[in-house]
Amino acid sequence: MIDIQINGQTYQVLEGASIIEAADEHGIYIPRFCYHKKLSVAANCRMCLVEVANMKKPMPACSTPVSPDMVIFTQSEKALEAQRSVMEFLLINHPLDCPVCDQGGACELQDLSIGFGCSESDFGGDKRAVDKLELGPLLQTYMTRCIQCTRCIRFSRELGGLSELGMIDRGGGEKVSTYVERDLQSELSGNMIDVCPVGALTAKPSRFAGRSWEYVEHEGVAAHDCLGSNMYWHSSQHDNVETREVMRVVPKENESINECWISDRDRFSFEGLTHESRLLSPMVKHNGTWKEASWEAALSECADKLGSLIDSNGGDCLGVLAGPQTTMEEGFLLQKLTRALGSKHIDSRLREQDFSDQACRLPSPRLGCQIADLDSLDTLFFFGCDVRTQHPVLTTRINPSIEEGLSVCAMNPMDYAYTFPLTEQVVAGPSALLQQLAALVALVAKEKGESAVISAEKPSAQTQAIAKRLLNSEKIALLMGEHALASTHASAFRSLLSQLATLVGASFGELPYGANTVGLQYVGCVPHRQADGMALAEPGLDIVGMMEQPRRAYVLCQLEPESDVLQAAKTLKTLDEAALVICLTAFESDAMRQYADIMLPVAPPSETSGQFMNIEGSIQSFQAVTVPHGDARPAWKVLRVLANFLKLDHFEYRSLEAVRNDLSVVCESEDSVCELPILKTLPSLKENELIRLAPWPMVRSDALVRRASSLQKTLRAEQVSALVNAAVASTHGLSDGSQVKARQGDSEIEITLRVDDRIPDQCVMIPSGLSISAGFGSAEQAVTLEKSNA
Amino acid sequence: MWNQLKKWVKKLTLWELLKGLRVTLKYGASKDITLQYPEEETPRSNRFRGMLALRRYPNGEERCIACKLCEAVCPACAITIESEVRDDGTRRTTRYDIDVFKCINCGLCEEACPVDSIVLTDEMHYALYNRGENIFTKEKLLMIGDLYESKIAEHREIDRGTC
Repeated sequence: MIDIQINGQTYQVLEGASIIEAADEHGIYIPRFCYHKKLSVAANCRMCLVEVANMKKPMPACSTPVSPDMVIFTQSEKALEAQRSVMEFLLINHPLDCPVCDQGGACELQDLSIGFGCSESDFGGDKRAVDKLELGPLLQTYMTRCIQCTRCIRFSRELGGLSELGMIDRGGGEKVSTYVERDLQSELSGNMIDVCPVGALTAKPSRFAGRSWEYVEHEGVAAHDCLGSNMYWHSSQHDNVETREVMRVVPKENESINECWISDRDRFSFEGLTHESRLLSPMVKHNGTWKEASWEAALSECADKLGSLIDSNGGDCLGVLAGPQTTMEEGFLLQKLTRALGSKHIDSRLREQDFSDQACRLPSPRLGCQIADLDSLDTLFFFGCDVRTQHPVLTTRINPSIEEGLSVCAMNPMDYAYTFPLTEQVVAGPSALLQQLAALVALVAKEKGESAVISAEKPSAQTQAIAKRLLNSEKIALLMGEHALASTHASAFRSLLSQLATLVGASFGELPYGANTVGLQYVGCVPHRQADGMALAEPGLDIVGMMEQPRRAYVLCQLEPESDVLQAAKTLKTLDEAALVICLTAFESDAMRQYADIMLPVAPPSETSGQFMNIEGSIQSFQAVTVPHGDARPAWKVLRVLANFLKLDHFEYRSLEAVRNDLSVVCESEDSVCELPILKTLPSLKENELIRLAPWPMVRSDALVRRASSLQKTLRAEQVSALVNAAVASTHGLSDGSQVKARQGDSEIEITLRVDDRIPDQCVMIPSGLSISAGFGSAEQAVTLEKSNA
Repeated sequence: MWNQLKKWVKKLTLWELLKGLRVTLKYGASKDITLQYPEEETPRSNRFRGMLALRRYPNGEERCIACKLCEAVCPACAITIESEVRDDGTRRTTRYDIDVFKCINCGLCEEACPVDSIVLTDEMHYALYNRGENIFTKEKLLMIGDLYESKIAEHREIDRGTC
């Protein structure tokens, strides 16, 4: 710490800090445009000029480091004059179109021109105009407004990791460009809107919808991935709650989770809230025709049918599934209802299919470390994880850390297009991946002088390189991603990875899909544990079991099985045959109209209050932003009243707080140690089959985001096609761009084939969650491809 | 004696009466200032703040760009605006309602308007007979603007450069 003087006051500041950092630390404002605390220093706007004693000229505060006994004046006549002159230069070419600019009212240039500019300009020439820049369906540009601060360029290079924008030309003709016109590929592109100090980059989906001063800000939690990014919902109509609508979403700063970034999925998914397929009133199916019903009629119908089925077949005939946007309170009530009805069959792990080690796992998945710890690692090891599309916000921590020496290794079922360079990578089909992981564990065990518990094949050169990297690193995190969790070998993966973590002293964690998958497992929406975390001696059926041993009745809470589960075809068939399917859902679909018998409209995350638990295990609560659309109700109210109709005891909750209190009493946080079984032999592996990889594209991951129209336009051709490598294509006699039929048992779809050498041998990637692949087959299972006749 | 004479002269010429009627007689002799409203009207300033109107450009394009500054500045919260991207990519209102019951004719909206769209005309003769007519919609306001355009333009021309 050193002493410096700012405006006559002495402050203690960190040595090596810049003047602007020191001033910010002590609440002294220095105007700035190009400086952003999370980006590198460019010092090109010159707005932050301050007077430093014994310096002839004013100095840029963002790039001048403090030195002992420095004397700084931020408000002296010299500093103010410098700032006024810079402001005048910046405004020479800035159009006076604030009234039609979406940034108007929240614009740094507007604010600073009031605070530090002067009201008249000496400039009399023509203002410059810059050509339009097309950046895709999410960002609207108006490059004439650009003041060349380069924040967007630095964001895309340093945090987005893609370097999609740059500066071309020089002097007065300098402009931001993509060089070759193309849409932005980044999953984080929306953050450029936030960093842009002027209205050059604004959000297309909320374009011209309102002005920033009329929005009301509501704190919220992102509802699409397990990080629980903090954000603000901005809603219109502050004086009339009934007609409030979500207008846009912006990030909320939380250093320990999302810093000040959110993904495009979190930012633009609000468009889905007003989709035409919103279910607005309870619907009941009578003899194949759907009719609207009152809540009372629909709920008593639910209770009658469910009650009579349970009376005649026992509680065992009920299966319950919960989607990851179900809040903890709703999950708690759902499992309480299920168990009160005498059923043990409840599951929320929609995208897993290997549950053989469930009894030994943690009560709910964990990252193994804090999210903020990812900044200070030596080595990060991803296993079966497409972190870029599934957890985009995490890459804002990884991308800048690469420069500071982080090395990332990965073992993946395909060569994912990460935004950061990989030090070592193994790309192999699911079974080869298991063998290589076993080989890695064996190799590391051998190097550490421990007896190898597993016999494995010879490790490949890349596996050896990964082993070397892991052995030579101090701080390591192993992360098991959504692909590994969805695999039929998930338990083997988990066991090997935890062994590996122990051997190299690393943290080991999982990155499951969905906002509240963690919270739902915590409150007992799993067949093998109760709400209090106690393991059941005889576990109920998991999601796979429920489909293999069909139940008579199903309750589905906030999911669309055709697009949300791994074994879509089997699930749809089972639901079709079930005597009763009750869907608590915010959206209806054609498939749902087929299999469901009663549809109850429930509120999506912006219209309900509740809690989500993120992957660190922290519980974050949020309030409803708007009232539910139509006749929809928060799911916790629906479940509470349904329980009353079913005449179940202990459901007399009067408020969400009452549910929350009950939940916090019942679900005590336990620090149980995860002792996974040690894998001794590898499961038998099938050879010579074409295995379907079935990842969910970012914008198809859940019902809400699937209905967000602007995000859908970002789907690229390769994300809606079947991908195989050239070798597989030639053995099957298929060519790039041809239509193919993919078949798994009875289910069959037609899809365009593309040749992509990122896919390993014996694999075909057919994305899940698309409208064409809805209800198709199962992930990670054998699939056949043949040329389509059409 | 002199006083007696003065008294009689005043009495005979009805002096006190004339004195009492001085103001009456003065105004009786001067030019009429009473106007027979509503047949006759007092002249109004060109800055008179009467009925509201939305203006168009000479080519027929509406001026309003949905910047919502009038809505923000309105002290009576009388203005409600909703906006959208029009097919040609410009920013336009889909709804521009003014509740004239709430409006206090302060003229701040006109002052805030960057494109001289919302104006107060000098029209003061309007009455509302039915519930709901107090909401002047965008169509109504534009229609008023069209009807009064020449007068509005004339009045603004007088003030050009004075403020």
